[in-house]
Amino acid sequence: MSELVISPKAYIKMIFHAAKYPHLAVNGLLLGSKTSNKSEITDAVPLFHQCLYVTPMSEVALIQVEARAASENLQIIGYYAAAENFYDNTIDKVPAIKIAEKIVENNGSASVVVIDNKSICMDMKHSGLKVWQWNDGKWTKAKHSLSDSRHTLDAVSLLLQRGAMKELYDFDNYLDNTEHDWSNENLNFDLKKILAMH
Amino acid sequence: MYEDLSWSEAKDLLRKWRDDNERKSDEVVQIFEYCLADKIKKLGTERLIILEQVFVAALDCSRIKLAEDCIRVLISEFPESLRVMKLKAMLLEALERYDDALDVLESIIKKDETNAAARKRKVAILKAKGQISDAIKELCDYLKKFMSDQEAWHELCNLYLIEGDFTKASFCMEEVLLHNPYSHLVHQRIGDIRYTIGGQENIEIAKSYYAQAVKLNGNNLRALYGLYLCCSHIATSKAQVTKRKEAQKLATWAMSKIFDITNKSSKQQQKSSKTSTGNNKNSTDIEALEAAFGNLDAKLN
Repeated sequence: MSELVISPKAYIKMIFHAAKYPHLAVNGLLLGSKTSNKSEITDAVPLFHQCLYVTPMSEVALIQVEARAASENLQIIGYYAAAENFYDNTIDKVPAIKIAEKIVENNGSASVVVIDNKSICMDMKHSGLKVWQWNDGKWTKAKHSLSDSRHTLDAVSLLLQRGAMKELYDFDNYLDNTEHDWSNENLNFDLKKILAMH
Repeated sequence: MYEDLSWSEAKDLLRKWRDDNERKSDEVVQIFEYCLADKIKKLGTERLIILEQVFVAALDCSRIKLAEDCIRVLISEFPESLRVMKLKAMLLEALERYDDALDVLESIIKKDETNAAARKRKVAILKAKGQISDAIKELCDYLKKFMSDQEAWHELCNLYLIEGDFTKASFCMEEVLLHNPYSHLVHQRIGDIRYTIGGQENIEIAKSYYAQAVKLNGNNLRALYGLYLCCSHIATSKAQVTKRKEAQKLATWAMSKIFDITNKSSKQQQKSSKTSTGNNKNSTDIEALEAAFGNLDAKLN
């Protein structure tokens, strides 16, 4: 089992996605790189907030994200989701877990990051995430850490208070209007500046 | 953001959201608190309906005290109203006092067997408790009595999707389609569900629903992608050569439409981009999709 490290950018985008659609299930892909004993998640690509269980758009998204990731020397190494029901935070309640299984099929392994809905607040004291990794044919609970955790949590709390999550675009937003950039380049740029200030 | 709205602009905005049935709970609460709370008397005939709207929005944002203030006014105006009783039940729901909420709903149904809203709130409570199969059962019973409630068919479709029962979900969406035969979104959703079930027959059916969606709205990007996926599958399957050739032509056509739509806005994106990356992103995305489905020409020969 490898140690999972989550970058501030990936973490903030995951939390933003869940916070932008508090009454809906959301999901997305996690990009990064793996060595034999460490997995590093460097970015998150938010995918859907409606109808997570149907596959056609997931297939399109997986192909396009994979291509984009490869161009940046990254792989899809994980899947994140926040369940529709406030209290669902276990692996068996993860919506559209099939996507994670597809990642395992293609890459041999994957991490599933579940956002614990009740831990999300305007003053985050801990990550509010739960992680599982594919091991020996099943999902097993795993540990994770946030890079620069205290500053990341301060930053995300401040940004949530300001309503910054509205600036995040997911793949659903892109399909509704292709001017919405699912890779969130502008947001990435802003986050870099904000995180540098912390 | 809403501090500068005049009270009449605020009133109009709230009315628009009521008419469009939009769930902008955060904004509704903000607008009410900034613009309208101290001018309630000026709201005239809309006063009570706005209070109801703010009540529901307050529950959504977990602003229980604000909700209680609103419902206090509504109860004093309409002490015997079943509509207000339903709101009381929603307050109990928000406080997670589900058994008390169910009691209130049952008493509404007893007083009025035709009260649809109370029955649907029962389904909502079951869903909130995570009892999806019970919610499905309750909603099916409801639909036996209220067969033309398309909101309910839509919700039942979602519940079946959660349970992974795609065939039943497709059937529910087809009921929604009966009420909305010209909706490109419903056609596309049925296509999505059929494609998900998979298998040659379902992919053919999905293709026809996607095609109809595109006919109704040529800008429905999901339907275009769906059409492309279905046709690519058919073109590389073991079907007759004529069918495969036809599918390939349609796939190529769909892809060109997708390219048009995605390319149009990549130029706009370039202008508003804060970074200087090239706009080749869209072409690489499309190439990746075509590569994933193989070289269609080669497979047909």
